Amino acid sequence: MGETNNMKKSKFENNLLAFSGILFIILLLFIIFNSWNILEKKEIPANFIIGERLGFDLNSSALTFGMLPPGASSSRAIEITNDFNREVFVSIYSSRSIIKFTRISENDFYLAPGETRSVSFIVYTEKNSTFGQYNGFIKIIIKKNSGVFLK
Amino acid sequence: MKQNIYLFFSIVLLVLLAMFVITNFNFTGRAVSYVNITIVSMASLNFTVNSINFGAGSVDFGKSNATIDTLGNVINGNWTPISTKFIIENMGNTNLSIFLSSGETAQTLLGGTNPGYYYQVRNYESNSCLNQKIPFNSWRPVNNTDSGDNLCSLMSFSDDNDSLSIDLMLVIPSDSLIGERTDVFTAVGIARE
Repeated sequence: MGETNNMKKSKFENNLLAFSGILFIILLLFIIFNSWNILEKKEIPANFIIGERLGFDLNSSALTFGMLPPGASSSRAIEITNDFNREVFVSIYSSRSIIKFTRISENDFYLAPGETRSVSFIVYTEKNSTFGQYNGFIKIIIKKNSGVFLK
Repeated sequence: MKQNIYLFFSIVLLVLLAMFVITNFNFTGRAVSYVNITIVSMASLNFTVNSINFGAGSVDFGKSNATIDTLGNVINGNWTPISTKFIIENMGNTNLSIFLSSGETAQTLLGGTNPGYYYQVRNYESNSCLNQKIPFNSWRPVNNTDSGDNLCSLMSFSDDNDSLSIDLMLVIPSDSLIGERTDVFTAVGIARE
């Protein structure tokens, strides 16, 4: 009786171990696939001010949208050139602090070798937007293909 | 049995770790960066005439039109005088060329007989524009073409000399369109190296 119980317990432990192991491997494979799939990550600081005036700030190292009154919009663009000798997949994300104000002209697209694509970012403010400075960033992920991705 | 499972997991783990290290630590001679990202040195601001609100009003009885502007003038009408204007500032650290276009024309915004829709640019801070492309301090019809008017080809970024003002003037015919009328202006700034 006791021996049967021990056998059952041991079998259960083995199954549990095997199940945990499989889960572990799947997770590892997922992480490795994602890191293998990413060729480059670039982060560009982005900011704008909601104020009374209209202001331009043409900083060339950041997406600075300047100052805009409530209800106005501001747009800037980047050019992405693929110098890889293979097709790449481009995904663009904006940080939470600015995401509700930001629209991206196009996202999740393939770029052929040597191809250049212009992507516009437009910041829209509501008529009742609160005055102040809003800071965030735009993240550009260059991938081998469009597969699953962990941000 | 358990030992075999441990051994199997260990081998798998080692293989996966080796793959991870090889693909991520550039032992293959792969160059680090192959995608170039350039931030275009141009920005476009869209803003509405709603920001300048002339409010409700009508042309005086017996007059063919009324003229209102953002310099506080109201002629032949009962609008409340306003002096709100658009201020465009160069907040960055590079000189700019500035373009301005409207979304509407006098006819599409106001309608009626001989409507007028004008703007006037001034240096809000002295010497903000170092190369004027249109006459400043005088009224000119709005331009609703895509490129608009080049106001200034060299707008300074110096803190005390970096802002322009834009005033508006409307000539509203007595037979103009009625109801709330709005327009959207677009200002484009291009960095000058």
